[in-house]
Amino acid sequence: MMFDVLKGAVDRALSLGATFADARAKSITTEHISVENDRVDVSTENSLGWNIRVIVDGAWGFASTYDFSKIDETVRRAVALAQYASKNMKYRVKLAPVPVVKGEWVSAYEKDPFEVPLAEKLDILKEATARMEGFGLVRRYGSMSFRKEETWFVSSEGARIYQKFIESGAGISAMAVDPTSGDVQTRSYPNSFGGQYMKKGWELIKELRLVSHAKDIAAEAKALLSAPELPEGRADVIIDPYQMALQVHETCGHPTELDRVLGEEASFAGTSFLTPDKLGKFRYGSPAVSIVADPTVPHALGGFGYDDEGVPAHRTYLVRDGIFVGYLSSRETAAMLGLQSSGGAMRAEGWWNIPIVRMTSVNLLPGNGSLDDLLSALGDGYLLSTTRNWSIADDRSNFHFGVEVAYEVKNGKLTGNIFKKASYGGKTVEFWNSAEAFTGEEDYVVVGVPNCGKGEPMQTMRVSHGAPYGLFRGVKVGG
Amino acid sequence: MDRRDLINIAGKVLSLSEAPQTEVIVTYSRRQLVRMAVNRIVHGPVDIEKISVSVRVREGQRVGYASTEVPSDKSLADMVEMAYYTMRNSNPLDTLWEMPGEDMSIETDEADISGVWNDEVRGAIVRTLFDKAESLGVEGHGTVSTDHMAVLVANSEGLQSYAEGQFGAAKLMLRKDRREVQDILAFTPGYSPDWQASIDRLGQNIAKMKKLADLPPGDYNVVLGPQAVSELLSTMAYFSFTADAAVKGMSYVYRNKGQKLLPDHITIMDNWRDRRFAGMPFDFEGAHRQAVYFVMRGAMGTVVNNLYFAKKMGEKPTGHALPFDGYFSPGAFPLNVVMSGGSRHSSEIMKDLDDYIYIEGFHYVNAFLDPYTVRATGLTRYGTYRMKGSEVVEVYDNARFLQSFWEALKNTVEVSSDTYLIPHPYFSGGGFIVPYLYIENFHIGA
Repeated sequence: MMFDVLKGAVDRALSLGATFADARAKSITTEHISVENDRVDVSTENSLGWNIRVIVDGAWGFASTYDFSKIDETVRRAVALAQYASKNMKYRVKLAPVPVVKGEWVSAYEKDPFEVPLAEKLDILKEATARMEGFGLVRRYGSMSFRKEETWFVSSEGARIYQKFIESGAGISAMAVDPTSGDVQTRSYPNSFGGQYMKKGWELIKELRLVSHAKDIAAEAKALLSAPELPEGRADVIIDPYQMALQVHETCGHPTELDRVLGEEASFAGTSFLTPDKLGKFRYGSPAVSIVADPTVPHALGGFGYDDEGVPAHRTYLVRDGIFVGYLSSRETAAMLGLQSSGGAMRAEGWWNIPIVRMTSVNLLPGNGSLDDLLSALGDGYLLSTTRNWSIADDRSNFHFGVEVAYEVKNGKLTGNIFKKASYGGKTVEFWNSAEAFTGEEDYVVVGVPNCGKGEPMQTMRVSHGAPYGLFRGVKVGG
Repeated sequence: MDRRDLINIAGKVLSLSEAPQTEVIVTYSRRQLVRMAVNRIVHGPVDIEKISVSVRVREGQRVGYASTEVPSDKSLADMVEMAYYTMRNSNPLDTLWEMPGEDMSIETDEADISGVWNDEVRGAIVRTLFDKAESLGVEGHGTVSTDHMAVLVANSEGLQSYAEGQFGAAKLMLRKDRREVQDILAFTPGYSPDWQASIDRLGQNIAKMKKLADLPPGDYNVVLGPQAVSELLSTMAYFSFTADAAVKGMSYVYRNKGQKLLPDHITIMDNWRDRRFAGMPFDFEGAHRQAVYFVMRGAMGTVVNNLYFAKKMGEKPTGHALPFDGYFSPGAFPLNVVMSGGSRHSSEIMKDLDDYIYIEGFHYVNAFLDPYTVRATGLTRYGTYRMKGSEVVEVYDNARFLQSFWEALKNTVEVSSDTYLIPHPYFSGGGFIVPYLYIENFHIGA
């Protein structure tokens, strides 16, 4: 039924003069549950709509609506916008070829989280936040998010694809405020800004064991109020997987988006220092650094079977043994650069958005050994944990990140001393070239990032990053 | 989708609910946007039509809500049922508030800007920007957009408030390699800047950018342009201007309420009534929006709230509630921030300065590491110049700064009389009316 509606829209676009058209319908159901101190907040939403994207006279047009009775009107709007674009520019769109796919992909999960009673979900969050009591916190917080998404895709080239995703996420956090100075300290588990997200079902919530970590983060948030600030200077550091995910996201993921490289994000998020002349020869990092875009990783939040242009999911090297070798790309940007095929990174947040080049699961490949091995290799320095603050240059050539806590390490052992307001920063290439080693599969985490912002109108995309612990030498910290 | 359609949807939802108290929000939006990059149109243009319906039900001290973007009868019924389900599972709230009644209903006419902002004008802007860029051998970038939004707020006490508006915006950029200049323009019934003059000014500015030097770390006397000031206030709004921040004890404004900590010439408020905004007269629970002073002549004022936070804090309602899914966190938000102007025009202020850094805008500002003092890091962008009077001495690449924004306001020596409307980057119809600021000891470097 849905495919017939979309096929009708594509055919109508061709009859109105489009040389290419694809149409996509999407159904999204979300549930977000939070407990802040004793206040319960539950929001649920469902959404269904469709869009059509056309090329007319070498220019794109796009229109979307919630109304399935307005097929002809919506197609006409898209065609008219493409004609408008064509009249106002000289450039003409070309697309890299794509295999025509008729397929289906459903993300793997054990238990549908929408079938779990709300009371059972709330019990976990109420228990976790209750265990944070007694530490003088201003905010005891826990949250869970669930998302079910179905997508139907049809193109004028013959593609016909159905996909279904189930995604879950959860986390807890503790916030302490010094009543005299106004100093604010936060600790989160397993990650800040909502916790960990994956393409999994209710089983993810069970695996995270939120309740058993609640007291620890509460105590550490309180302890940070009286902890010293991380001293300014150069230091050797280990970065934990959740902070590493941000590092990869901001300093490798975004600068390898080919639309950004080609200037299409310049007036909003910025550009990229990874220009095409560097492809295949630029030393981005030390030989220990290899980074791939791989939406086929099981349960990765940025995983899928096909991107929103119908390109089958596949692994692409972005950095291999420290050398910059690849981009995240779409059919159009691949053609602009003379690449033979799309990198399969074209994604749209909802039915209302046009797809743009996005991260998928951009993963820093693991090394060998355990965290204990890495601590021994570090000797003296700091273990930096959990994202708190981030700011990146428009071309991603430098960055300044803050973490919730820095743990002191002496002679390869954690001393138990902690530091607050811990920040580090530097030049992207210098930083990645200071990478000495990464932990192996044992400590590897595929971190879900549900809130990557890009594009105008803004689209919030769900991406992920495989990340180990990493050892970096001579990093600028503090400040 | 017109006013009657929204009223019909709200009526259906209210009739479906058997809760003692029910509130409904119906919003319809249509956004047309053209995105430009490298002298071509990219990512569209797009035309997006959306509708959203939210219900909040209340029985005793328990509240539940749900939303849908599918306005069918079945979907509306499912939504009401889900709101009941969440209400039954929620904890009793610590604070209860009264819903506005029928006497609080407001209706506003559509703010029509089609005379100054239509397809023809948008097309002319695109062509003029591309022509200017090509004539200078640089690239034209940016966006041109029109938003049309209608909001209906109704409740079981008889309230029915409706507002409808149109807003236009243009972000215009010229760039080449690392050199880039940008202007952001807003178009409302009460504000229509000269876009052609803006494109000419951008052309003149990029022509001055021959070679970019690095700005060494240090404390500088700076003049912030309107784009930079809007970024500064946007960051401060999140960390200091809301009831949520005040309740947590991290709002600099609320913790220092009544104390005079800034110079006399600093006044910052939220004021939807400024005729340059196309502001909504009521919030998402139907409370009337009030003007709120965050800083008045250097003295700390108060924060914006919704009905829950007003009651909890013992304050008067300010009418700044967000929709139900953001009701508790952040709860309320200032969408029409105004910083009062001073006595001299920006050109006069700068003409009399001997040696200073002019900063057009900021990029990627974040202050989570020290939210109370809003100690922010970010980069300068769209033009960083060493100036002597009105003359450019040197042009710099974007530079990182690390600076408490409250400290920066303490160090603000002069505020320009000329003020500008900068559209809010995330809230359609919101924005900032801002002057130029002359600030001493602004810290460049991490």
